[in-house]
Amino acid sequence: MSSAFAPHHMPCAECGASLAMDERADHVCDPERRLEYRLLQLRDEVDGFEDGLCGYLDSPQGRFAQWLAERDRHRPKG
Amino acid sequence: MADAKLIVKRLIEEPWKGNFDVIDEYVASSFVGRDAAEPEPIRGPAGVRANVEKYTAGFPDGAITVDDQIAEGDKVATRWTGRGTQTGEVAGIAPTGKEVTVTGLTISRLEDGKVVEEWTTWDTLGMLIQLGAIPEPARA
Ligand SMILES: [Zn+2]
Repeated sequence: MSSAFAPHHMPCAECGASLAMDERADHVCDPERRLEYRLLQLRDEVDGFEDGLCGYLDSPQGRFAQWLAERDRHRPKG
Repeated sequence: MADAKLIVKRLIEEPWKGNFDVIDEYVASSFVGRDAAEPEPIRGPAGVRANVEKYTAGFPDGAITVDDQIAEGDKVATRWTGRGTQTGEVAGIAPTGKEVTVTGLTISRLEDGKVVEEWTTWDTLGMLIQLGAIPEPARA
């Protein structure tokens, strides 16, 4: 039995697929769909990481780190 | 002239597949659509197309399937199911990646092989709950 106003379908919490009430027990997530769903959920975090990285690379500390890495890359080994 | 039920079925299903020609083919220029989810009536073929595009922007893989139809006189009643994954913004809701399933009922009135008037009610509350914009009521 379900309460009033509860939809017959709800998205799977793991992959977002629309599932009817009676499909939920037997549902197995499609791995590809689950990955896409997770990435969409994490997009703010991914964007935030990219913004943070760009900010760091533009800071004096980040610029120095890049200069140092570049210098080490060209330094002869041994 | 195509069968009234077929005209309405094509008009409900085809635009979601990107086939907007059916709108020009089957929607009268004087068309007025009343959708319980819309504050203003939908007018003419351009209004019908804009209304579909509003949802396909949010649900690019969205599709509507006609489940049942009854015709009487100049009217056709259609029961349909819409399904799509929200990867674009809908009603101010940022993309959720959630797939939703909603059902609706449309009554269409035809004149000379074109739809001139339409009344639609569909499960907007269910869509908002499935997208997480409204909390899911506790199940007993
Ligand atoms: Zn799943």
